[in-house]
Amino acid sequence: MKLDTRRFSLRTLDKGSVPKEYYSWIQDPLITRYLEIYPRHYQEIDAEKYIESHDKRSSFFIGIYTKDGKFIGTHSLKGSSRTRKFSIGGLVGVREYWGHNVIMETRAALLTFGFKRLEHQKAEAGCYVGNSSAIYNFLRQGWKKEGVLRSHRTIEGVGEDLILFGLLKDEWKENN
Amino acid sequence: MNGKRITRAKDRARHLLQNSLGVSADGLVDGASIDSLLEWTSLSHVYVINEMEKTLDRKLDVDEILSATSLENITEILLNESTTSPSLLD
Repeated sequence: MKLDTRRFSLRTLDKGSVPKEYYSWIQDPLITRYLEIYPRHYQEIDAEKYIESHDKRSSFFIGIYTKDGKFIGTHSLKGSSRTRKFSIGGLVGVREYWGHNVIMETRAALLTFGFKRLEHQKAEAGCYVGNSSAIYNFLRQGWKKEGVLRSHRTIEGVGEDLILFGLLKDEWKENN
Repeated sequence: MNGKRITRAKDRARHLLQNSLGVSADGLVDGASIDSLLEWTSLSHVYVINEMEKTLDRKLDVDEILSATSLENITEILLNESTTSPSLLD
């Protein structure tokens, strides 16, 4: 898969093609604070297993690149033809790109890919309640809250709720 | 009385957004929201939520976090809070 947005390119990655920066990002507590990763326990081999869990047919591990080829983040898209749903989650590893709508712009391309090319009916995602930037992105993109998993994870000693978001194909079509 | 409370809550919300987003009072017209204000980015939204929690002196609940996306909604949250903490709008 290769997709282009106005400012970025998205390319499918596998274990052999993931740039080494990815492995340093997942060891950075600030980057992984709200991800399902505990840097102290998460090793390169865990990351490789995770990357390999994407079969490149229904599930994709995707690199986010600037137009001049700088690797700045990743997305994971995991779909099921049986349920016609896909889940999506991303990270921006290069801090100078935080706050620049990278996730919004690139996720929009993946939503179109998931709904149109893969013919899914629904997208799902989630984020922790303290991740205000991610919440902002979901709300601006038209996602709806579907539920809350209370104290789903302990972050810095405090139980934090996980908000589940969903977006239907028709809702996406309406706004795009 | 109620009208005064609403006005005070809106002034407080306006002030809160001015501080968090670095916008002038002129930029905060009625209806200002994450969809209409360029300054209201994913990063500055962190400041909005932090400023609200500082103002209310507590963590926001999930529904408050999800609704803190416009001047009117933030006004509403402050108004609701003022029923249990009247000094909030002093």
